[in-house]
Amino acid sequence: MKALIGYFLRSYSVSQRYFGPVAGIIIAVLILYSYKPNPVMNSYSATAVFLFVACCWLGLSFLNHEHAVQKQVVIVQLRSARRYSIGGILTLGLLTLLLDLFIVIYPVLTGSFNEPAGLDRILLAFTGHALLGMLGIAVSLYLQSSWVSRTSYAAGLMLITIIMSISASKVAELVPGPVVPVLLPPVFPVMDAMMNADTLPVPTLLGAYAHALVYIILLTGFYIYRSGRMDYNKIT
Amino acid sequence: MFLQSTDRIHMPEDADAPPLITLTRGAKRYRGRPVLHDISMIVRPGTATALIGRNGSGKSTLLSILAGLLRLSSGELTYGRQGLTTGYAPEAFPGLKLTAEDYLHDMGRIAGLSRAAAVSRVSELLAIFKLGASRSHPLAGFSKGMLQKVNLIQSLLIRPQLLLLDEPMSGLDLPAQHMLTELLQELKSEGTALVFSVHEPQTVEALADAVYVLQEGRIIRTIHGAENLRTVPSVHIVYTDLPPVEQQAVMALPGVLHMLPVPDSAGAACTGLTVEQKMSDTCLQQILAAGGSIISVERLGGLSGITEWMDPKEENGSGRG
Repeated sequence: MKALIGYFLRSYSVSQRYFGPVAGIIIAVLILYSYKPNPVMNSYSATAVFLFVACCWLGLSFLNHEHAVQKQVVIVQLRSARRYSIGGILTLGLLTLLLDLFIVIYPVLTGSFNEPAGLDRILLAFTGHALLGMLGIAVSLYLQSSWVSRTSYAAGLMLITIIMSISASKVAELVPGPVVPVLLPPVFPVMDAMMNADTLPVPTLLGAYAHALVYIILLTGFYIYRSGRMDYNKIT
Repeated sequence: MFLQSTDRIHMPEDADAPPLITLTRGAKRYRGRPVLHDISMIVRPGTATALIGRNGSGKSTLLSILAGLLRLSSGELTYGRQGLTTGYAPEAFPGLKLTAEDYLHDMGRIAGLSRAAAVSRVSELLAIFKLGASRSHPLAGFSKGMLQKVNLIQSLLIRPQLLLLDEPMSGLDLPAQHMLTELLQELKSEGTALVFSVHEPQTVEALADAVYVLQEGRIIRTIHGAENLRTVPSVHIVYTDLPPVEQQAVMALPGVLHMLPVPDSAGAACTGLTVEQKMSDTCLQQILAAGGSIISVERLGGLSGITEWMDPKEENGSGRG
């Protein structure tokens, strides 16, 4: 698996497709912290949402960067399509954690907050960013070209998902019942929990995080299951 | 010698060896459209199976199914061994941005080689395929033939028990084709099972033990046994008729395959004689000595119908056997 992740990182970096999402998130963070001072958890909440969006984009560009024929070759070398998929998810997880680390540490190092962040809040922020980042990756798994053949459709679906996930509270007002909270990626609950972390009871905070974690596990789990039962032809 | 003796898999061809792959009544449909129908085949260690037919006849799809990349819509595919090591060289290998060396090292590591083994194996194969000078160049700048060599190298990194090649000679220059043929013959003799799609009759002649002719997703003919793929090279001689006794004497010569009456362009009675190439001089001398006149001499191909089956004109349902 280490060899596969190394290959993916090399292949993705020479493709330069990472530039858009990585540059996008870095620029957004730099702009956000160009004004000082900033409230700690409010700022982290905003950057976590930025990371969700960036990871959707990053995931899609990563999953589509490899030529379909080369994908066939790697699957045969690995002797498993599922291992190929797991390798891709782990590589994206690694990239997400690197971005997460930068986003969480940068304002601390540059003294961009209005008060000391404290280890508790830094850990909370790191976990929240990781969850929303992986949520973005989990969404992108289903929008890659082997699932949605037209790039324009995939991009449209991604934008709709992002917008509806972020504005889930408004959508829930329009569509009452459990459908919205269950179906939509739980970006809003995590964002809301991070924003109000200083005042929320711990179980509520952990509940929001657990919700996101379960959502990620379900999406990636089903994806890995399906990837072992899919066709890998020379087109997709 | 292309291969190191320490890398050998096991015994050479054994007709009774248990199959590596058994495909029974396999069918494949894409979005309801059938692309393969009722395909059955057995692949044994140390054998070479050629898939021939026109473009779009289903050869690449069948290879992808054997590689485990496509799932059967119906039928059954069983592997004779757990953890079967498979090499797969697809058609139209893409020009990636990685260098040849980096790419092949990564493929070797992914396939399970240690770092040192991957480096050594890649160097060995790059030298065999005469790509050593281009090892540090990005694949994106490679010619079609060079890309095909990299494609073949990646399929050979781990000594495969099953090697699946989709038009392996495509884009290769003549020396590379000869080298590849020798390499594949050596692999086959050491127990690797080869399955390849091909458009070159010479490759079929040099390697294949069995040929499957595909047309519109169906196997319309199978030829088993190398001896059934080839005929003795022969010569067709047309000459003016001889008296009956001399005609009988010519007919009785060893190596004569057919004798048929043929009219020449002037309408005169002539005979068409097909004879083994090695006996053609003797036949010609006998005809001339008997007073006959040679109208034409034509060399015939050495493959029995393979060229014809490369481009099957119509359904030949009776051809199985």
